[in-house]
Amino acid sequence: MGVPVFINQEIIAYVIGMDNNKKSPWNDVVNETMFNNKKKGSYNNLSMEKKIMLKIQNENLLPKGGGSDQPSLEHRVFLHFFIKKEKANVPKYIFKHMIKTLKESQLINRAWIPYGRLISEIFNQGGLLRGLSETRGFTDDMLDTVTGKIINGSTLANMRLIKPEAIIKLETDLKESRVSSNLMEGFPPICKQDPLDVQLFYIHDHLQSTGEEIQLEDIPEEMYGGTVKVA
Amino acid sequence: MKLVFPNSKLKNPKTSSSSSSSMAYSSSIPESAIQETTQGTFTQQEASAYEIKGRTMSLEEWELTVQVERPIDFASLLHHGCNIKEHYESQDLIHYFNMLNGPTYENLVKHFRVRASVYDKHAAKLEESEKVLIDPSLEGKSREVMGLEPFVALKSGLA
Repeated sequence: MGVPVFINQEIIAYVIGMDNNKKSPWNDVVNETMFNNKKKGSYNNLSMEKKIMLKIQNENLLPKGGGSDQPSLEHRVFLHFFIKKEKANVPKYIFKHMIKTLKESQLINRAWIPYGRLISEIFNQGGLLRGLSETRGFTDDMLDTVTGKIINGSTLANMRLIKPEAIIKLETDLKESRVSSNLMEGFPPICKQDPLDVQLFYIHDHLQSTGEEIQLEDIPEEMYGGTVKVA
Repeated sequence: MKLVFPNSKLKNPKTSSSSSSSMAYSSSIPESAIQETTQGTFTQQEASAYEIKGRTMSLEEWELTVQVERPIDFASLLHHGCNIKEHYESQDLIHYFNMLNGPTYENLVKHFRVRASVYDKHAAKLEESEKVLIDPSLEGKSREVMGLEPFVALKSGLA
């Protein structure tokens, strides 16, 4: 026998004389930032800038598999920091998101894995790519090297934010084709399919310019690189 | 917490039998090439037993889909009426966004991802208790005395 006592959030709110507000206080703040309104608006109410900023966030900062028109509170708070130019701890958000997606793969077999480029750059700066290129055993085909599709004016048209005929091409436009793989760095453009004298010429030329000697057997079967595929 | 690089444990492949390595690798990268790599890349480290990091998920590498970040052409966006660069400048992210315009090695990323594990406080404690189990005199000693790498926790606080 005894007196059962139940304590929950509602009881505590009652005892300390506060409303039991189940909603995060962030909701009002982020709605004000995104929709200029306390109420949560829909994706269609967002301005063009905010739509593209949400897109960039979903692609590059907190990647989200699937649609982008129903952002979670976490995604909306993060976007709020960017719109209001309040400095956010971006590496921390990215790291936590990376861990979260890793756990999803481990625990619920989620096959989608984000941050391909970021992890590749960590490999590169850690010297892994230099190591791989020194073995001359790898081609971009084997590593499935790709580059991300650029977000530009055409993306705006694809998102139906501008009309297709409004796309302006500029001289300064970024192009995916300018990306080259780290495997290629400093290796002359030869392969075993080239005539022997061509191979020897390049080896000699490479020795003259860099002082590095290339062995004939180190020359790859097929030509390295060229342009990297667009993901 | 930190992500553990699986390859950091790859050392001298010569000390391993070929059968054990073929069991652990179900990789999309040919095995002969991996052997070559580990030799080429990691021989500068002290030679200890060849250790292959186990897989940490039941998904196969070929089942994974890598999402590749997309470079942003701020100049193009500006010409189409989207002036947003300053929002990213104020977060010091221009360097990161420039970096995105580079190669992604999908097979390496997949190879890493199926072997990655989260190394957090819990994992660090587990490591220590295993050491103590082998040598009880290590109880209460520092991680350095136990021969473990120091544990650096992610600083908590307001984001």
